[in-house]
Amino acid sequence: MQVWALIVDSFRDAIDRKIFWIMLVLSAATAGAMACVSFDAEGVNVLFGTWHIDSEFYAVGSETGRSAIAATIIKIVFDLSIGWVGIILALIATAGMVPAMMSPGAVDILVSKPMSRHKLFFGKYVGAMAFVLMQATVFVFLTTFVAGWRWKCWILELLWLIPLTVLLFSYVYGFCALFGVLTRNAMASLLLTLVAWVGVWAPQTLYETFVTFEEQIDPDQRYQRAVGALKWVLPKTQDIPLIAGKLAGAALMSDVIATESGTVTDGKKEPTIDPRQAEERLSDVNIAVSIASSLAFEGVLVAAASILFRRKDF
Amino acid sequence: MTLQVTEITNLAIDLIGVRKTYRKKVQALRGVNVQVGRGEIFGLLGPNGAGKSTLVKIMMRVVRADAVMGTVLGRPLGNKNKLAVTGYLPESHRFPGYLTGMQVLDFYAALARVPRPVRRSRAPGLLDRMGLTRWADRPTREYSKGMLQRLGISQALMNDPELIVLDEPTDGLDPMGRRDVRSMLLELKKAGKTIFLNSHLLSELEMVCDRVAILNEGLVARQGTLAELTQRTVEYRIRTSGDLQAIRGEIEKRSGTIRNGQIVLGGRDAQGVNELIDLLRQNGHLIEAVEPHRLSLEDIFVEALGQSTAAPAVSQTGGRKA
Ligand SMILES: Nc1ncnc2c1ncn2[C@@H]1O[C@H](COP(=O)(O)OP(=O)(O)O)[C@@H](O)[C@H]1O
Ligand SMILES: [Mg+2]
Repeated sequence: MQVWALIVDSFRDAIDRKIFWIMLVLSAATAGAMACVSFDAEGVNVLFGTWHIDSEFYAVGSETGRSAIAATIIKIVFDLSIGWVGIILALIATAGMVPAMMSPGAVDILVSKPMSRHKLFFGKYVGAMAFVLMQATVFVFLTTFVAGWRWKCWILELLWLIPLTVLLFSYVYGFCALFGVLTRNAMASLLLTLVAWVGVWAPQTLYETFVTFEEQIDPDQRYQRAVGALKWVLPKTQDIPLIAGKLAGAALMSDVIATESGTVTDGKKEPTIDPRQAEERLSDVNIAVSIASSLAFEGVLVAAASILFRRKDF
Repeated sequence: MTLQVTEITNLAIDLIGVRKTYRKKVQALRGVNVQVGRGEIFGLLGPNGAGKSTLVKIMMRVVRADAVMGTVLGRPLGNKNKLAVTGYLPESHRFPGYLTGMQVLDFYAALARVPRPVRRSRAPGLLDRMGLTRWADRPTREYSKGMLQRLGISQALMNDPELIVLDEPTDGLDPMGRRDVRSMLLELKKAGKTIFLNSHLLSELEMVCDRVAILNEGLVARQGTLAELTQRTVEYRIRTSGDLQAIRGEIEKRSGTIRNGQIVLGGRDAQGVNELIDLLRQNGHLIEAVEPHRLSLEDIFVEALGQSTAAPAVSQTGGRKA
């Protein structure tokens, strides 16, 4: 009952913020924009026949057309959920929750209730997750449905992105909650979280670089091992798209990886990793180990935050 | 069944040796003892910074004491089952602005483990009693300070508490609101509740409290029933016409003193008063008034803080802010 009340309260808190509605509008707008586009035998049909772009690449019926459409869908849905856009919006919406709970005058009543401070903190934490779960569900359902309905391409595996978005968010929110307790300031904890996110991202990217250019810059694998260890301890945020790709279907795997780690020049993707290598990497990812070790790190952050919260005098 | 033995004590609050030093610097409480009987309205009085809120926060687990012994409602401090039957209104509390009055009551009562049907049935009555019915479905960010205070008190009553702890309950209320709170406190007392209240408004405590403690610089300077504290000293004041300086020696011989043109006789000495009156009559003074004077709580308060009760400027002001 108590945790449920805290979750409901987190929702009310979130709904009260503009960002909540911005996120819903963005979800609807994305789905709406997708619905304005359809594909036929000759190419792309925009705004129900207003424009027609002849394209063999996107033509329905051809093998390349199907996979091109699927790749586009995946690109859109991936980028806006487990890409940085969705996560940053979710952080903006939730970064203030812990500081608000701890604000003078508000915290007094909360901590005087017959529940442990750990439970109180946990309830608030889960509340933020529940909010992101709701937003992710709306977005993924809408886009998946529109893709199936208008683009005739049902990829139900995309629904995996709902839990994966929450998971990725939770990796990052662990930092946010800790900084929230430390600074008691929404903006400060948001900025520090972004810094931490970069700090988590860097070793993963560096590791890839050292692996790829091993012969040139790191012949005795010293850096590779050091960064690898760091990467192993920290949350593996960049495994999420790989896991998503793995779950969304093996046929689309290389597309996904090219999309995720490629650079775009002149409208063409230039994968930094060639697809074969990418597939290799993908099969390298042990989903259970990746998630478990990341959650362990998140657990340490949340435990630290909760202990600090418990010890505080207000 | 051994547990029940402690329940039998008729003290709702029995705290011994409460100490608290903030950040190794500010000594807020330096060994405070407080005893509050069940069914009593107890007032904690003291100047700003005396440590009143700190003591309450320690009772409500908001702040952790460095040292504390004793019980609240017969259980060690912070017992969850006892917190569930305690209502608390913090000093300058804030509710999330997005919650409506009704949602505030429901949310905090849920955290206090009040079952939903009970919350549903209890909230409208409390809002009504506090005159907030019309505002029940408005977000609290639109509330005035007085309305927030009344909502805060309702919030503290949602779990039908045995013990009600109120930190400056009349803060931000207008005189009418204050009177409402006072009558509500008396009503709650009739219903058998124990009330612990912090206030810097002396007159407020005087009107409702059975017992008070005066806290100064982290120590209890006085503690007792209002009668005990105020009847401890009584003085008589005799107002006369004419110049008293001529018979000053005679007055002082009869242990009277001249203050502000009046003769003041300490103690409850009616015999002494009559001797003084005889003296005045013999010397042709006209007696205008003889007033027995009980020390007010304020006099006690000022005295407890180590100042002189004799200063006339102090005894003239009513309900001074502490
Ligand atoms: N959270 C805190 N951190 C540091 N010092 C505090 C804190 N709360 C109160 N104090 C100090 O402790 C003393 C007692 O404060 P308080 O209990 O609020 O007094 P009162 O309620 O009687 O005005 C004051 O000197 C105050 O500055
Ligand atoms: Mg105070």
